[in-house]
Amino acid sequence: MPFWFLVPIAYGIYKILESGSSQVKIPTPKRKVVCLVGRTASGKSSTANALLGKKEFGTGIEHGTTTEAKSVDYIHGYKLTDTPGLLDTINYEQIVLNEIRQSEIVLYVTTGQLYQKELEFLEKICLGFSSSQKLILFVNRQDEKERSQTTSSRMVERQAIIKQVQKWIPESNVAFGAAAPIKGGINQTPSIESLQSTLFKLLQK
Amino acid sequence: MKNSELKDEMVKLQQELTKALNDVLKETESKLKTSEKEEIKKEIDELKELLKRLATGRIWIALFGKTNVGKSAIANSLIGDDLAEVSIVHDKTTKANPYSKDDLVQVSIEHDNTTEANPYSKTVYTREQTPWYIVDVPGIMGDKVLEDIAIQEAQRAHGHIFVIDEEPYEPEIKLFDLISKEMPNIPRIVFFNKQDRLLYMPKKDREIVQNRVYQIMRKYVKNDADIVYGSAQIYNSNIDEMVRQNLTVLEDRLYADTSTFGEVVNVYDPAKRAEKLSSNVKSKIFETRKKVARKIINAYGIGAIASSIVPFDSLIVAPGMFLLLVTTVIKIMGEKESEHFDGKKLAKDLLVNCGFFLFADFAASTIAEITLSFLGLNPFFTALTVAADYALLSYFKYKRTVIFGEALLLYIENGFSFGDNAKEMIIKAKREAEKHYSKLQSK
Repeated sequence: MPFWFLVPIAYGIYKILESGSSQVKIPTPKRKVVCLVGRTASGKSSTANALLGKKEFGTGIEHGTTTEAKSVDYIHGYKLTDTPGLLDTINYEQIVLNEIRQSEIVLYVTTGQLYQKELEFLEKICLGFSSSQKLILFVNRQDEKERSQTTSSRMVERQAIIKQVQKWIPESNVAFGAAAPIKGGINQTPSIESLQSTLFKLLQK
Repeated sequence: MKNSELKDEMVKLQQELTKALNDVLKETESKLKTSEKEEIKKEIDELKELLKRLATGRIWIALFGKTNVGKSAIANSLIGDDLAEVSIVHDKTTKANPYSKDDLVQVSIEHDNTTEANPYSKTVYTREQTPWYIVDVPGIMGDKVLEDIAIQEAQRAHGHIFVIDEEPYEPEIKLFDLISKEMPNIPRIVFFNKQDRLLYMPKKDREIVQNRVYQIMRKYVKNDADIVYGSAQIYNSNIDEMVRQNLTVLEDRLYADTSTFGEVVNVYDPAKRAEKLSSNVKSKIFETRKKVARKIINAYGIGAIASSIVPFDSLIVAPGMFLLLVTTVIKIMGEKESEHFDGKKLAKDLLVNCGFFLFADFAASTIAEITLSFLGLNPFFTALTVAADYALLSYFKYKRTVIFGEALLLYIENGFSFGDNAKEMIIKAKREAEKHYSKLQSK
């Protein structure tokens, strides 16, 4: 038997002994993938399209537009994966968790404060996270907030969101913007600078 | 009449009727067929429910919907005052605020957004000038609600409003399914809040959303008009404030739709709103009131079975339960007590007329009863009294009561008068009784 074959086994045993816990996590290599996740119709596909600068993924106002995970090439050797939405009448959780397991960066897309089931989902994915995985939150549809909420309530909501996820996501990884803003019934250019700068910081690492 | 006075009357009535109805069931249980027993039991249950809710003196509306969908704002709009503190932060509506006095208004107090297991709490909004008693069941997509509590509130309410502000998510649909399965017959309206957001969308998208909403939510309502769109608040960018909107469209649905919500709402139609409603709606309201009044009359009829035999001439002197029936029905029909009549005199007048024109149905049964009870004293004839069809006696007592009730309704409808031909009215009352009370049809 070739000697080198024993190296990963030895490494594994070393890791088990070092951790001293009964939980054995064989480190799965995380692919260079940014995976978009979130409840249905939160704007994941639109956000992916905005990041890519072209309409790769189908979008729609109705729930359940995206029904399967799909990956395309992004930048710096990364892929971008769009997933079906959570909290839909069809349960896509397993598919989504599968994609997350293989992704280095998880980009959670929401339109406002997260609902209880979403918080539970974040807790779940973070429990399963390896040290190399990262979580970003993108709060979409800020154009809508500007025309339907008072300035103070918008500020209050932003703080509330940051507080909601602080257990899993640092404030520096929370971005606000609008992937597919609308004004006067006409589509405008995406407003995702904050998201891009947050994302690029993590990619380069 | 103040709502609080009406409430006290209803509580009293509820107690009297509940006792009478329970006595009836006890008495008749062994003597009636199973199907008859079931029928009475069902009627009793339905009426007890109705009375329980009427006894609150208000119309209970339970609002269901996810966190931040705008239930507090809707409550404010319906009540016409900014009672509820509307907040953007999830789970502001968390603590139970007990309903205090009629004259005081209910305000939602802000509480910490704590994640401790706070036993369920609801917030109630109400105000003297409106008939509403609005229960805000905490958002299901937030931290705080338990399914059992939601069902409890659903059962107590006269009607439900399912509130959404976009195509509903799975947890919302789950809750709506649960509530509508538990209470399939309760009146229900779907209210799509924040409609102003739809107006900013391209027309195509707007239509997609409305279509989806219709497909998903139509199973919870009895007809399409019960899916209502509106905005409880609208943002005014000039003053950077949220402005409360009147929800006339929702209110009109609550009042005018007599086949659903209106069934109960219209019993309490505040006099001041009556003028604003069209004559078509007014006549529908009247029919609804009669429907409820008939439930009451039926209950009194059943109660009469359980009550002791009262000779007709004694009735004239002391109308007893008949007087109660008169005052109750008058209220249900929306008339104020002092205005048109003297309750006791009316009861007596009606009894006299009924007894005179429907001797066989009204007074004769009493003589038969008296005769039989007299015979009962003689042990030789004990067998005879036992054989005397108890059900037949009950039937007579019941029939007498409902004929009386129908005569009362006709009297009210005729502007509190017998008109030119009292005999005609009384005979019509008998026909109406036979038409509307299934117990009479079976004999």
